[in-house]
Amino acid sequence: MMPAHPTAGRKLTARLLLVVGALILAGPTVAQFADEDGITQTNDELWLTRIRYDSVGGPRQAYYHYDGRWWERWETDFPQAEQNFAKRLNELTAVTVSPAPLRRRLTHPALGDSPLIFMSDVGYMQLSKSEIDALRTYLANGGFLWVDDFWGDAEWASLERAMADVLPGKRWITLPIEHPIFHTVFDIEVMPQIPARDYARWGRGTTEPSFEHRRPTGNMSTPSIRAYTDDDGRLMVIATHNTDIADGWERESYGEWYFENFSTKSYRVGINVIVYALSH
Amino acid sequence: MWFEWLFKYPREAYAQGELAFAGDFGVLWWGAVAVLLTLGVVFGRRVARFSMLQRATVYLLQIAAIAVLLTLIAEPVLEVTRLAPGANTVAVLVDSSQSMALPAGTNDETRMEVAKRLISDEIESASRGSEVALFHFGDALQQAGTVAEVQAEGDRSRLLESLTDLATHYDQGALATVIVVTDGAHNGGSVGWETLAETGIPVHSIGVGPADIPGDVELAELVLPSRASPHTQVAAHLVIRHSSRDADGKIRLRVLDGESVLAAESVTLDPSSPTIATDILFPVGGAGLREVTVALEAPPDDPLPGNNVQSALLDVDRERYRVLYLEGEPRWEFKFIRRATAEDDDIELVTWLRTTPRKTYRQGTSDPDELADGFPESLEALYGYDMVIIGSLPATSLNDEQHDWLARFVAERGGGLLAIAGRQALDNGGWDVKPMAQALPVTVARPSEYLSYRRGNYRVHPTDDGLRSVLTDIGGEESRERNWETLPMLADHQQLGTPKPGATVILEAFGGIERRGADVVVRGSPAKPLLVTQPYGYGRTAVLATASTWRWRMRTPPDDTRHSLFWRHLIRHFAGSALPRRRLSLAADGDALDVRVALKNPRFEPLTDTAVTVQVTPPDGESFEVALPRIAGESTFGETIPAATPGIYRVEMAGISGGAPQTEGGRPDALDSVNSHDVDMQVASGETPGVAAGRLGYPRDALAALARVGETNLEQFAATLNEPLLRRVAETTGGAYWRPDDLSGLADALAFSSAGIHERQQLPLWNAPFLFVLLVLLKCAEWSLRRYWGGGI
Repeated sequence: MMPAHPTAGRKLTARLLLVVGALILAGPTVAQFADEDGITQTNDELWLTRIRYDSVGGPRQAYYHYDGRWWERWETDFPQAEQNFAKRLNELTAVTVSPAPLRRRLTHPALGDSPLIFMSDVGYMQLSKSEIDALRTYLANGGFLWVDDFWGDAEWASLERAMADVLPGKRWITLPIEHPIFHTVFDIEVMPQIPARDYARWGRGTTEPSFEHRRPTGNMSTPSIRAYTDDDGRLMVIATHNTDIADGWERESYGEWYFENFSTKSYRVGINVIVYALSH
Repeated sequence: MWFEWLFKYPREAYAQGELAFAGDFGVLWWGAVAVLLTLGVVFGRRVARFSMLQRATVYLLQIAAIAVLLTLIAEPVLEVTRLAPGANTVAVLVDSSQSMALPAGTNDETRMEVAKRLISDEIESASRGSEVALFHFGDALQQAGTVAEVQAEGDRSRLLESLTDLATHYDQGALATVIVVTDGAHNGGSVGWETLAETGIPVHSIGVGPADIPGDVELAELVLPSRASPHTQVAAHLVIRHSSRDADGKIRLRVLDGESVLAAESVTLDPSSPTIATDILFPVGGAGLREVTVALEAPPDDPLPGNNVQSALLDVDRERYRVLYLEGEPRWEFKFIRRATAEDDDIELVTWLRTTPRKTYRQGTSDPDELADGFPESLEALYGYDMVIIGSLPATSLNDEQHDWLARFVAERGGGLLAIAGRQALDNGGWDVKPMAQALPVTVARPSEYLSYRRGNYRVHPTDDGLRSVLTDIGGEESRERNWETLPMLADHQQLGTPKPGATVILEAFGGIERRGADVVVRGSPAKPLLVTQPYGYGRTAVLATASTWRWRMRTPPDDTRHSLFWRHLIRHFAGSALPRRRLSLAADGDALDVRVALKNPRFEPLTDTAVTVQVTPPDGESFEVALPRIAGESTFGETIPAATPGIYRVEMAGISGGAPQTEGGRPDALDSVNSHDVDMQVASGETPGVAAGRLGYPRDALAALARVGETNLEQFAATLNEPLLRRVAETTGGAYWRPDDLSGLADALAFSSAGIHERQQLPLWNAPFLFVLLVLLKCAEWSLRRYWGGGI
């Protein structure tokens, strides 16, 4: 249910986008996502690719119940987030994106066909030896990994441990707002914090509740982009921490207030990251 | 021979002289006319019974005979001017270069021995009446006292210069004629043929030596670029001449740096093709000066093994290339081209990327104004790049003037142009418009609903031409073909038009490949052009019919460098054609250096209103400066500098003053609306590379050059008889070409030379046999006809 909010300054463009988006999403879908082993030959340049991985633990750890079914951590927001994002990319940028996202394991032989891969909700992620090796090779070849939707110190530590096996000796850096990734298409002055739609309430802030995340969470109020760079200073991995960018894409049609306050910001970040990955 | 018997005098006399009559047309002559006419009337009665036609024929024959008799009575003469005896000089010029010590080809004599025999036995006697002055030439013209002292020792054959020197500066008498005895193996500098003709002295050339040396294999030409970047591959262009009779003959080529073998290759000698042109690639190694030697492994019976080796200097130093890449959509090919070139410090890639319908993104710019309006704002700004890459960008992104600039960029500036496939590239992007369509190596169809750019899986294979090209050298540990076969498949292809007549297909794509599980099934569709190139004006253009070479990076191990090398070689090759704005060229010419400097303004128009100074560093290291004057009638500056010490000379530009750029280009009209004022150009911090020199200077300027003086073996090369050159020398000067076995007409040709001191003579013709023969023939014909027609005698 969309929370009510008496915002006076709604923008006409936002309304139009909302209506258009809702119509598109309500319309007949062509292909929800491609089969893991099949590539439909189209002229699209970019295939949004969600990485399937394993997580440790049981219920509420490796998987959780939501909206009537059990979800694995890797499939959070998938595929609706990618489908919505693909549409927005096609509408707003010069990138041609397949409307059907891919899902692949890191060990997939054709992983190299997706120079940009996306991982979500990595707080309980564990990678096998073969996955670690594959990801290391992928990144060394110029592949770009975007990790999203993990909050707090414990989940950060989980990612940090996994990536330490992939790229031993590398150090995470926090990207300043002056970094080109914040300015490739849109000028982003502040890194936005996007909560899951269920925790977005007018007047209660943007930080998700700590009980939803692995503890100790520590301070979750400051979103950031942290990154690994290669020896030439190029970004290899970015982690949007303490924010759920993909949820802003997934829930764009859940209400005007959410769209205006979170989806638009999610798209700005997403578009900048995509164009950055395609040009650096 | 028969001519002179019949007409009494040689052809030269008739060619030069005029016919006249020495007799007096007085009483005797008119009396003879009267007598002959009277006889004719009396005789006429005897043919009264003939028909009109028969009588007319007989009368005509009789009148002709009378005319011949009257001519004899009038004392015909040939008025000629011929050399005054004792007043003229005939210069005999003998080739004393080392090639004259080679066999003459007719018997056991050397060419020099044949020359000396001809001079002693025939030429001196043919020059009777004139003084004979003997000269010889190799490196330079020299006078000789006797024939015996002339030796074949010169390490050059400066034939044309020596002839010109002799004809121009001879001051020891009236020079009437020059006779040159040589094999014609000229290897000196160039002299204008007009200069030689203007001397007015006829040159009679006598060619000695064989037209062919059986079994000889010669490395006739070695062409290297003067500069190369460190750790790159360079193509040595070779021309091999041979007179091999062996249909299966193969010869081994080696490229050497001192004792180190840099490359080796075998070449087949085709008996039907005496000249073979080929390229051989070799790695240049690190920075420094190289003396690269190419050697043919001579067959054991090669009569001239000395012409199997040539050397050239190669200055291995950094050479920067500035490349502009215009891309209409963010895509992986863009990212990975940037990544490949980022590994090459000598390639400065400036990119302009359309990110949204109304936003663009620039990278690699050297200042905030660069590409601020999208396409370079002036012709000068465009000429600041060495190469332009156009990606998936509609042709309408450029206005008409900018299209014209791009074509001129290739044709006049010598830049490289590469068009990459894409949804909005080539025909899909409307690039069928002139003049760009003319510059591209394939025909570009008009845009249609049919999308020529499609996804699919394609293998790549170099063509035969491609395998000989540096563009297909992508490293790897296996053969070149195998290195391509094992590359990951491409993911797209754009159907190209027909390659143009001058185009070369370097790579082909084989489509129709599909996956079945882990297997790849090839359906065997015909090959499609993938990389096509062609020269255009001073520059080069190419079309790459794919935008998925990035797969070669993403689907190979991290240490696989084939993708990177492909793009680096491609860019270096096409950017390398760009002309420098300032070019210093240097050639060793015997014991002198020929220095040339060409300057252009930013629009690449010749710059002539300036002063140029160069610094010369000889082998002993004592540098000095030389001012170069402008060469008359040319837009270059040059000077010949003495270089007596053998060794390597370095000449570099020391100073240019004056001659500021002559023109400043105006800004083009505004670009299309997409690139207009409200375009949000982002210049992100950290995007500008540290090197800004490329924007201000021209990194490909050639400001220094090296040359080796001395220690040559030129006389081993092109050592056969060069009859066409000797014929041209003779024809240009009004002389004649003579074979050594037939100099019988030389004496008369010398006597009637057009130069020298002449005297006028009347040569009597009344006793020339042809007149009497004519008279007898006329009378015999008349008598025979009258007998036949039944008349009396």
